[in-house]
Amino acid sequence: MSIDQFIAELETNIVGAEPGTLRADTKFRELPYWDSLAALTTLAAFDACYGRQISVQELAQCTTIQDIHALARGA
Amino acid sequence: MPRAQFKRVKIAAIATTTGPVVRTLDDEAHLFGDNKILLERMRTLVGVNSRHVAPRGVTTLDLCENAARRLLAGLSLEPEAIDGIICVTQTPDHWQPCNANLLHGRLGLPKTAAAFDINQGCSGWVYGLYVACAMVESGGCERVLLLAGDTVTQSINPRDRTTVVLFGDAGTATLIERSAVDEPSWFSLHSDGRGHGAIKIPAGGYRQPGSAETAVEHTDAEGSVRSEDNLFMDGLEVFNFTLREEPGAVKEMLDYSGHTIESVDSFVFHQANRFILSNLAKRIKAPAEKVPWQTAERFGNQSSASVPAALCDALGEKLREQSLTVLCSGFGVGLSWGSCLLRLGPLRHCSLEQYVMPSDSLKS
Repeated sequence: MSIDQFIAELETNIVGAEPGTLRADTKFRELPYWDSLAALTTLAAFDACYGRQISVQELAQCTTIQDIHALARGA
Repeated sequence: MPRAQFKRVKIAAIATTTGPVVRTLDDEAHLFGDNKILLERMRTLVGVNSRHVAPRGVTTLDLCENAARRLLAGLSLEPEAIDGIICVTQTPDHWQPCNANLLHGRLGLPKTAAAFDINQGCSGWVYGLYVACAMVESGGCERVLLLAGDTVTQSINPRDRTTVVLFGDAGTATLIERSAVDEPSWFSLHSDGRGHGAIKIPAGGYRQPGSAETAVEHTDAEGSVRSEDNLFMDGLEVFNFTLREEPGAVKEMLDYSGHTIESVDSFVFHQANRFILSNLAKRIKAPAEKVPWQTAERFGNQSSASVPAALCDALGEKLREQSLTVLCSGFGVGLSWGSCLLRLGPLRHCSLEQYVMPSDSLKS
């Protein structure tokens, strides 16, 4: 799946990230409503897009959306 | 691996009693700074709507007793007919004796009945059902009363917004009895104690007794407040655990029993919340209408009571009239998970009611 599709999935599900506001280099922790529930939504979006899980530790090491997307290729 | 098939045992009846007090998300709006966007997210994404809770003074024992009495009355069953009582709970009245002994006395069960507790949470009803079925199938018991319930909300800090809006309280009663005809059921139990820290009340047991020190409240990075005496839940780890283990558990049950997603009428999972259940339904590729999560939305996460409560709430009408092939699976604290696949119904009694406070306790 392309990073654009992953971004679209995040924009649908993360509050405060309206369509068109996210980019590959967006530092997701700086989003207005970023919290543990937004992190949970991100884990779910990754699972939905790539069909596999990322650990809480893997997510903790990411800064940008590109970093998360790269985990899919690292599988 | 504790996998088992039972043949001559069935569930005859289920009753659920929910906590007497209804709380809605609006009651907790202050925890989210009255922020409409954050509240809307809890409602639409997590599926938090209302919860039935038991205030201090109403215990798991009271809720289970209420459910048990309704079940026995519904079946016109005398206490003498019961020869085993098992309570599944992590919120008992006392450390000693166990809830099953206390309820044995309250319900007037005969001295010939075995009574003991099983200390397990969200997976506990399936664990208890396995043990109850084994007691009947082995020939030792004719009828076992399985009482699963918890009052988790009483260990949650009212200022912990990550957990307070999710949980509810309930007690349930399930009657397991010998069957004259073949009623095959399949079970599988699992655990992973390495993940024990994901859902935990750190203090209050013998390792770290409750004290003034453990009652000191701390505020975490997101503003939630809790002490060592309160329930802690790492939502991210629990979500990952569920999606890691539950799809495999479902597949194992289907392979073991020879069933398929299509041939199962309903997948009744532990009612954690809509977010977890809808993601799980997607993962196992089950149509959403076969995976009820309305019980979580209406009553909250009821820990060990949630699977039987969902059977009464989401399937009760059908189960009173007909029989269904149901896959039940509980998962959570431990970490622990257990699944079973059974032919359920028509049940001779299946009801869900809200606990009514005795009038004298309202006055005090």
